[in-house]
Amino acid sequence: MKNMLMIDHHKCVGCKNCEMVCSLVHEGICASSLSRIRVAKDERAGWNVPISCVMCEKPLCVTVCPVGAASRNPVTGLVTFDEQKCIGCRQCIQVCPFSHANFNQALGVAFKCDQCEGEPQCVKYCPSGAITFEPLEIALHQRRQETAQKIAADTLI
Amino acid sequence: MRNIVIAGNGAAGNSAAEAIRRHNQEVKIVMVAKENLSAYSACALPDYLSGWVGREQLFIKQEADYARQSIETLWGRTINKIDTQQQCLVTDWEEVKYDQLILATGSRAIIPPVPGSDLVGNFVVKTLNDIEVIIQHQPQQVLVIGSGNIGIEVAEALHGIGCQVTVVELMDHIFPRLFDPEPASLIEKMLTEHGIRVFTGEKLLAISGKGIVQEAATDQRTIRCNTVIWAVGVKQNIEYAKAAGIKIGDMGGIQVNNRMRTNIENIYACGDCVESWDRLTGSKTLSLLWPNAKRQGEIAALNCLGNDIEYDGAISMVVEDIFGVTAVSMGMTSNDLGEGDIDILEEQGLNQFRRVLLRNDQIMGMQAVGVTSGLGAVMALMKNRTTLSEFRHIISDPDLRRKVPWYWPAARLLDDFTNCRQGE
Amino acid sequence: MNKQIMIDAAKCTGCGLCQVLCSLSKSHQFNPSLARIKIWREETRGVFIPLTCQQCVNPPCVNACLMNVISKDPITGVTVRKTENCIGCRACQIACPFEACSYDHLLNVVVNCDQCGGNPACVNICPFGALQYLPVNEALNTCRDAEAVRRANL
Repeated sequence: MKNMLMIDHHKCVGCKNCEMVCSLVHEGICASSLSRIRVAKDERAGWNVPISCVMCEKPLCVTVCPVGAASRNPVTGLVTFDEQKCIGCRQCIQVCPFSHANFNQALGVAFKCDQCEGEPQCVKYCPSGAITFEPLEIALHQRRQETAQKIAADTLI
Repeated sequence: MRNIVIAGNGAAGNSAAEAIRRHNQEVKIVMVAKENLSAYSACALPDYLSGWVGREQLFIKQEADYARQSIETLWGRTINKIDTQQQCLVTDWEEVKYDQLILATGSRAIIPPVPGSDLVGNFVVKTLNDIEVIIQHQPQQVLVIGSGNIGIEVAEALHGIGCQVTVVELMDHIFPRLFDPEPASLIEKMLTEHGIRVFTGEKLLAISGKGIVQEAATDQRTIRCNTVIWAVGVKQNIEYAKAAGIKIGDMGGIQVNNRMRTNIENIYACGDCVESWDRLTGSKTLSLLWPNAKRQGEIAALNCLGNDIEYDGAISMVVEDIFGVTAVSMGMTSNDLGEGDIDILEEQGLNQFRRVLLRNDQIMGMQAVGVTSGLGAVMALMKNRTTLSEFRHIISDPDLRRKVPWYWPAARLLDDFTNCRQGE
Repeated sequence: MNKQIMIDAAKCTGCGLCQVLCSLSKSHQFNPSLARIKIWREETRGVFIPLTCQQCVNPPCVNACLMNVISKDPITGVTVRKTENCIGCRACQIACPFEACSYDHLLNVVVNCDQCGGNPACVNICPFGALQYLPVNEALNTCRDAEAVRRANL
């Protein structure tokens, strides 16, 4: 696993650009329901949370798929669905702990994030920098720094 | 307008035609077939022989269905040759131009050249016509040669209509390609209890009679019979294809790639006449099973329409009804797997038998007699190549196991095995 | 295909009312063995798993059927059977990973859930909400919102 899709929902402004570009790239139309990444929002409570695949190390969708359509590449760590093998039983959708796996009603197949073969378009078109695509170590380092700064700011009054 | 010609009106041919129509309403479909009948299910023929299903019930398609799907039908044609240059199929009646050709001509049952096998009273079971001539012949004492699924189903059917039935098998147990010796002997016991005589490890030497079958001699006994049913195997209908330069594999079936394409452009092949490969081991196989033929037909059709869909190989799955007891064989048998690292998990009860074959912790085959529940899930695990330890890990985790409901039926089967293994 | 019988096995107590109601509405008698929904009971572990047809879009049972009895209803997306042609060979039972094909031992045919034409009796009777009949997208959105709330409140 080289890069990881990191989502900082505190930065998300809820513009849904990511949904538009995702469905456009994968399905040829701008349609939220066909987007891999989905932004859940509650305007009154004031939060926007983009949800995409976290590429679990032990993905439940792979375990539950009865036909082997869902698979995890052990080298890249990418979890993908094979539309040709999919029988449309929707087990993956019922089981995904992040409600990421989605269903294409027209084609009758499940679909999920494939990280656009290493160049996620949602990252490219995110105006607020809520979605980033970076190696795990760098992302982790950055988070650590941010936390450290917070602690430092709290303690050094 | 594009013209797709399908040679053959069996499982593969019809599945191809239907897949084309599902995705494309425009292309012209022409079906060419030898039999002068609309599609019927060959698998139900023994049931027709026994009277369990009626003649009309056999048909999975009516003539009107072809018209409704605008499929042109040319029945009763023999294929003489394929002109690959002109892209034209030459039958004994006409020349049919094609843009794409799907060969689904299936196979035919063989009668080996044993002395007396040309006498009246020798039959095979492959087509509806075969069944009708058997019924007309009024069988009384029947000798069934070969104990594959066809042989045993026919033996049971004829026993059901009051015939005295004897089964002779060359190999040391019945269902040599579907079951291991132990479950086979359990099935054999059931057959014998119901009055079907079964002789295994016997070779048929000759059939004798004055114009009509009267007696058959094996290397151990003579058997009186007025009917001999040959269920020893089939041969692929590929002669015309071979003549046209289509490559034939080592096992005698048309060679196709994983898109069901032959070596000649615009010619696809599917069903009994092709040589496919086993999904679990990747080894070459001639799969003669209905579900595999249907899937191959679908793949050939979709690729014909310009899609790029891969066939992932044949998998064996046979369900037999032995006097009301269900016997299931899926995947490989120990014989297929050969010597080597095979783990066998099994449990035997009264008229019950379950056996799972494992290689490298992966389920390679399962045979069950008298059990049906949980088999579908085991089949899915087998196709998924889930290892047994992985499976046990999931099922023993209280959080995970509720999320994978279909693992439970398999868990009961495999758990039982674990218990009986511990008891050893 | 829009609506689906969603199963939450964690809520199932194994009361079996769904099976009773199913057999009543389909076979006109109280007989769980005729129901098109099964409860997989692991009594020693306290696990009850309702299993029924998942209405796959491209179901393995269709491919396995030797008589081409099974098909998908083009409008509702339900897996339907012409049971008059079924020879009861059980091939579909072996092909289905979900144990969803039930053998009707009165008619000697194999049957599956047809969602009672849009008003499933099992869902109506389920006292604990283990079975719910929901549009797939709606159910997904509800789950996604719950996950979003969880993350937003972290």
